[in-house]
Amino acid sequence: MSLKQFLQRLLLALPTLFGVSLVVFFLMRVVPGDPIAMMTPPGATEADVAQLRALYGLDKPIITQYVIWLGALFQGDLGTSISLRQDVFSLILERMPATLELAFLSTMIAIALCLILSLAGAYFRDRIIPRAVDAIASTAQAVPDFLWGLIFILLLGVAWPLFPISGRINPRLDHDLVSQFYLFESLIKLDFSLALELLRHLLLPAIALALPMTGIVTRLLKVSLEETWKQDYITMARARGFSRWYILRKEALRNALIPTVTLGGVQLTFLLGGTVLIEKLFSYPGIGNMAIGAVIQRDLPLIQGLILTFAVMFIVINLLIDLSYSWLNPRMRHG
Amino acid sequence: MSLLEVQDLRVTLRQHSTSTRLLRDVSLSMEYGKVLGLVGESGAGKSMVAKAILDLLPKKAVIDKGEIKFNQNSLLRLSVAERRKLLGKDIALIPQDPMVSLNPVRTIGTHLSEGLTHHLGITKAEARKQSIALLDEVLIRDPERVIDAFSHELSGGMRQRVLIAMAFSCSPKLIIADEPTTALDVTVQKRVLSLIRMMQRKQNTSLLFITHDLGVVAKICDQVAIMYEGRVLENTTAKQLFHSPGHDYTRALIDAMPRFDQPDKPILPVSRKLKEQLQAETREVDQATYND
Amino acid sequence: MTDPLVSANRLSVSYRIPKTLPWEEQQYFEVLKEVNFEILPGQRLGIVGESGSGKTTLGRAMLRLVKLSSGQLLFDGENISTLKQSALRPMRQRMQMIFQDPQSSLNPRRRIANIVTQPLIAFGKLPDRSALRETASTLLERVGLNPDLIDRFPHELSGGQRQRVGIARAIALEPKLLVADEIVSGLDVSSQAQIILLLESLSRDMDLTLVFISHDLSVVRKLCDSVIVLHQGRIAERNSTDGLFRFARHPYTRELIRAIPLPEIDDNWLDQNNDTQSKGGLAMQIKNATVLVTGANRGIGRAYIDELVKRGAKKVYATARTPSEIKTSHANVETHPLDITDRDAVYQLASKLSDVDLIINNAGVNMMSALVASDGLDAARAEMEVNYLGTLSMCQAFAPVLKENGGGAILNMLSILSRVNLPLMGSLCASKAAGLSLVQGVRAELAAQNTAVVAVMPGAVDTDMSKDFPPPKMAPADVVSAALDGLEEGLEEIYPGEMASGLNQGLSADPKAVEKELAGYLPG
Repeated sequence: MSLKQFLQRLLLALPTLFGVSLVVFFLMRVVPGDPIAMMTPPGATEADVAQLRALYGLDKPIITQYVIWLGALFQGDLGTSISLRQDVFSLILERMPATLELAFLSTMIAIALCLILSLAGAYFRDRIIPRAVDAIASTAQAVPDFLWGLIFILLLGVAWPLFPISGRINPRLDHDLVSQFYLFESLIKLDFSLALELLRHLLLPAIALALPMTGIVTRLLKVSLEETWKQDYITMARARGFSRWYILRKEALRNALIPTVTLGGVQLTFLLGGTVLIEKLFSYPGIGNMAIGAVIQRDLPLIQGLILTFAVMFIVINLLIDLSYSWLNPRMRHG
Repeated sequence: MSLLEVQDLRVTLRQHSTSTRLLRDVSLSMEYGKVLGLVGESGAGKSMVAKAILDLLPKKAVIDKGEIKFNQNSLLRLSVAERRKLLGKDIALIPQDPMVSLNPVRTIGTHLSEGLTHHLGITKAEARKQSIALLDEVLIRDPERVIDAFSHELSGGMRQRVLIAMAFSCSPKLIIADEPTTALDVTVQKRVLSLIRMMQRKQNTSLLFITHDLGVVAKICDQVAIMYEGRVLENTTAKQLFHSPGHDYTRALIDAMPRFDQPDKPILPVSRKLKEQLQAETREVDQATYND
Repeated sequence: MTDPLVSANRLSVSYRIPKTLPWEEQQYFEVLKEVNFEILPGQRLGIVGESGSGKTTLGRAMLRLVKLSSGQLLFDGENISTLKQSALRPMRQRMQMIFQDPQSSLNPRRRIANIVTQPLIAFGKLPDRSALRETASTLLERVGLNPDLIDRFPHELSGGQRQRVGIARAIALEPKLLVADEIVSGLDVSSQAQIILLLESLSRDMDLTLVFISHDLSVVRKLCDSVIVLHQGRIAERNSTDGLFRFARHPYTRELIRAIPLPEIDDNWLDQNNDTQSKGGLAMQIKNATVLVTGANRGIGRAYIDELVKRGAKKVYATARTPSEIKTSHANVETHPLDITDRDAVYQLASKLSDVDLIINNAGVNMMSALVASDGLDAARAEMEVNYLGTLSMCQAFAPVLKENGGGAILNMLSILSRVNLPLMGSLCASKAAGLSLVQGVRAELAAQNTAVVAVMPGAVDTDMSKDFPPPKMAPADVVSAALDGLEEGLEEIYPGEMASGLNQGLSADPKAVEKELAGYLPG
């Protein structure tokens, strides 16, 4: 993809974002539940409620509310959270790194597992290993991420308490981290004991998130590798005396990845969505966890901000997938 | 002394409980620097011979009997690793369909130089230099540009030239060309055939040329073997074959060809009687060798 | 004259190139560019060309299976270029297509009986389902298949059999037009022969108009009566099949023909240069040609007879004033008396030899006469009489014969002295200059009728005529060989030998210098 095409793709994302904002804003207004009613104590007077309404701008017509919100949005102002009484933008900014770290680690685990499993499945010509790979992949895929999370909590957190099952870091631990990217920062500072402590917290939720995606993508990649193996250029490489492992790695893998990446990309957005439940389950302080709280509290500004944030992340992921697609497939490079 | 000696090769495809003979005691012999044409209709087993030599037989195909001797050494007794050392270096393949025989995600240069580094143990930089020289040798204009191109950027004829360069890159003793021009336009076919013969003569390579087109055989082969149902019916010099074919089936194949220079020549399909006779012979052969 | 079944006028087809972004400008790829042709009822038309030439698109466009971007298409007198698909549907009974890949065009889950009768059912021509099996059997028999195959599935048949099922389905509705797209290219020679014979007999028995798309000119020659050669979306050439092979006009056609490998040993075939085709003129193959040679009793004429026979000419008419002097023992050489200055005799011979397609005007005289230095006009008149007027008579008399035979060639023996005067024989040179001018004029007049008009301009040739001339002299056989090579290659001016080609180069570089050099050779 040329730089021009990349910029054009970015431009195309704007109408998408606008559409998302529209849907989110109006949908939130029609679902039942009054945020003001949620925050006021039972004895509050009509006047108190009206005052609060005016404070949050909820007394104006809905179109006006949208225009005001959109105008603020362009200045980077997502409003104030009704339940937490803080600026939404800085709230999200503070919590997002935790989610990003979780999603990133989870994706890396999924990719590594996929490659190991599907390459092993395609390399060995006996009956046992390919079948074992299929069985592992099917199981990983059949169980949803939050169930994996529960299983891990019960097995590795409760029955054999090998891992912490709550939070991001031991709250009693003293640390001098300045950013919210705890793991990345500790790794950059080469503070490996701290990184290990962080990883112990991260590992279970990350694996739980990664497993369903691993299952689907492994099966996909293995079938794709088997299809690729039948191609004439592979036969040609075999006739040139290259070993099976060499051909698999150099000739087959990249071709097999082309169809896999398209579908794997969709899976990645599911993974991101999965963080919501997993974060809640592991009491992990990311934006997913925050989103559940916001919904329960009918915290409209926060919900809107969070959904927009997720939309931006989806768009970025899709862009990354398109980029990797054109890197993998030279036929896409020249437009 | 011959370079390649296929002796009584018998290959059977064993699937579930049925078994199908693919090759029925095929014997061939190839001289150094000569071109042997392997001719037959689809299903005659001509590609199977190539696959047996190249160790590309399908998983379920078993060599029951016979021997393939290359340079006096039995290929069938070599280990997988030893055989791989020969493939691409001493024995090379020019495939049928240039459109799908190059890896779409790798550059032409990678294709060429990986063979050189792998078999000759030269550095990558040296291999790239040699690759450019090879492209030049197969008459590709602007090799400096083509070396960094991907296969989809080249025409069919150009791709076949690249594959020819790959085949000849390590100066092999034997090249197996499996219908190398069937997928090409007739004008491109002529140029590619010229190139194959030019390279073959230059390097004094032996060429096993598999085709169903007797016209092409007449132009490039010294020796011809006619196959039917996995059997070799006739094995003779090209001159002899076109002058006075020894087998009725060969005659029938020539008679079935339309010729633009003889518009009034009748074209005759191979007669049912001849086919039945040949099939009866095949059954006889199978019965006679059932217990071998 | 019968009305054409299909007639296309400036037919174009282009495809949209998919856009990467919505605001990009729409780009088109033109596959067929303003193609004109007509197909008469009962004709068997071959369409040849390499991959990407547009031949498949042309076949599909004829049946409106692709969208036409412009132009007019008439089928059976009706304009179908803009008809809606629903309006076209009833017409589809009369136009059918068979595809290249029988495997993918036959539904793998239906039995053969259902496949071949499917068009009949679709058009409501088989109201009684009980007749289905019987109809299917009849159809299979018509394409030479065993009727027992009706209960089989496509995958149980061989490639050739599947292709015949495709044909059976296509002829079920008794169409007028059948378009066959590369239907024999994947088959073995034997199955290919069967399909060709089948199509031949079907088109005869059913009064079928056949469009046969193929890359194989040998097959096309066997099956078709006329050919369209497509090259890069345009019609490069259209002729009768016979005419195409004898007088291929387009260099691309010539290359196509030369690239066909015949099943006969030819060690030089692969060495023959592919890239000599860029000569613009008409070419003519000597093989199977019927040739008339004048002045065949001496030198170059004799050499022509020998070389023509050697190159496989079907028949050679050797003419001379005294035919008894023509010494030849070849069976396909026929001698005729002819004095080309006798106009009536020339016309008589032209009416007799109606199968000629190559005229070699070789007869000529040289009176070895200067211009001013000679006394009177006798020598000049004699030379003009033979060299110019006699040759003109030949052209006038035989041009209609050539036209009748679909084209051909006229090859005139001139001399490099047609281009520059040698005062030693100034009078001859003047007549030869007239001869060159004649070649140019006749070429222009006959271009439309597919006739090549070629000038051969050698230097000194070793014959009786030039026995007083100093060496170096070229052997007549070499001159003839170069002339016929040039004709087969499509050259319009041929300069055999070093002397001629050297002088030709000199003349194009500095004509004055050559003129001055030759002016030194004065008579006396």
